[in-house]
Amino acid sequence: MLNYYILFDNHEQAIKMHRDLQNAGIDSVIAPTPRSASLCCGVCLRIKKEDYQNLERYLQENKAVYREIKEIQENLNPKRDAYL
Amino acid sequence: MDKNHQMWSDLGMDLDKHDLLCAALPGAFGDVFLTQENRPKGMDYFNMVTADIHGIRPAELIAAQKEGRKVIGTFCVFVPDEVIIAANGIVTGLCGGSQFWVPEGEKVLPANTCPLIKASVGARLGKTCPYFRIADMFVGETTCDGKKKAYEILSEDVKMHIMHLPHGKRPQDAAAWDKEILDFVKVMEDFTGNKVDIDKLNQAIHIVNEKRKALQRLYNCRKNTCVPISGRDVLLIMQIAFFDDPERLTAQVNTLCDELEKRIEEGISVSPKNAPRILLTGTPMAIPNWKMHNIVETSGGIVVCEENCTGTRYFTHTVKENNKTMEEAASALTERYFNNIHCACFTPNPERIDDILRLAKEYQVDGILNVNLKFCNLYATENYFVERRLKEEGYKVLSLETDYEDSDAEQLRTRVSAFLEMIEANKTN
Repeated sequence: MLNYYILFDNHEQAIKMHRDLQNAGIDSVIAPTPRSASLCCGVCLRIKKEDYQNLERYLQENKAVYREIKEIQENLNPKRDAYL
Repeated sequence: MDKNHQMWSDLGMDLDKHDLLCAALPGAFGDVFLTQENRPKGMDYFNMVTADIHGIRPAELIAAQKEGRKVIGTFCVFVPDEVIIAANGIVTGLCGGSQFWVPEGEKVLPANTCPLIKASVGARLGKTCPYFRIADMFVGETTCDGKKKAYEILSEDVKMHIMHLPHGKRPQDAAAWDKEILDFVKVMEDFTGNKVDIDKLNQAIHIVNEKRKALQRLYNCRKNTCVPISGRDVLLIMQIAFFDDPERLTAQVNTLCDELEKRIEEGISVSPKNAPRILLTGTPMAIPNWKMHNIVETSGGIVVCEENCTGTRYFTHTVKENNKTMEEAASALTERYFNNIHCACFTPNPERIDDILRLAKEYQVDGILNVNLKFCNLYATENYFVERRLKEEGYKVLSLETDYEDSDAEQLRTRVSAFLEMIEANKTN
């Protein structure tokens, strides 16, 4: 499944954008940063493909602080049974 | 070097080894949590805490230490947080729920020690857990032989205080625990340099009671036939509750409960109406041990209650507030901790079975999973009475033993699926 991940320099930026997007009616989920997006542990926002256009529009119209956006082909599987 | 790595380096952690854990977290978290449909929005806070669990909270603890506060690491729900908070200390949970830390623990402990103990010791000695690096003191307790001896090994490396928990519930045992609490007050006063008076202790009791009430409110939401939150999500909240600032956690859980209660009103459930409702009982599930919940909930069941130390034992019953003397407060703490946490370390321990039966009714469960960590002799032996009584009362029970490894997951899936199918077949007949 294709998803978009917004990366930040710190979790405060992620919380702010999460709240701002929520107020703008755009769904995002706070998630751990996938390893393929960054080698650093940390917080990012996960946006579904269908919400990406709204996000792009939002970012054009609003000043938002973030590091970068990554498009990631995810292969999540709830029955993988690969725990920590 | 980014801020987290700098902090971990300053803490003397093994960065290369720790990075392996960081690398595995997003995938495991994604599989267990991000694949769920229709999660409550209020889970975002808990996602955030987990996403950077070795970054955000450790940085807060270090900042508090710079202001002169002490951080106290605890291993067990018998240690009264209230005493630490009253001494202006900060309580933190410790790493211990992953196979990642086990091999390091096995270097100094027998292999047939429970994985929780091996992982805890391994997390400290392997320098891969920031909480184990940050804490100024560790408070252990004599709840089992494995822990008692492991604490002796840890005490060669860290400052420890051990609370001696009596293993019976006679009046003299409760009196002995009263005294342990008053001794602990003195230990905390000496260590922090802060006097604990009755006002501070009452205030701390109130703070922890509010947290307990919020967690009870969360659990109450699961009693409904419409289940507004998954067992996996509640497990995550409970695991985080051991680490987070208690007042902030209370606020976040109450905000989530507002959402969940609204969901119940609107009939929004995370599971199909007829999904078998499962109560889980047994040994604790420290973060990031999500295996059993994930297996149950991706096999057609829904976990609606946990009778264990990362479940109801952590928050059930509040402590009497507005005590007049330290002795009265110690008795109030004993009443809540000693007389009402029904751990298998007590002999006899029929109250635990009474609790399971009461919870099974309250949460309208269809089946009970009795899940114990391998090599936990106390819970394994108590299983004889637990399983017998629950079956006598007409409950479907499945007893399982597991550890933190993934290798038994498929076998567990097979057994859990068969158990859930049997429940479903019984429901339709």
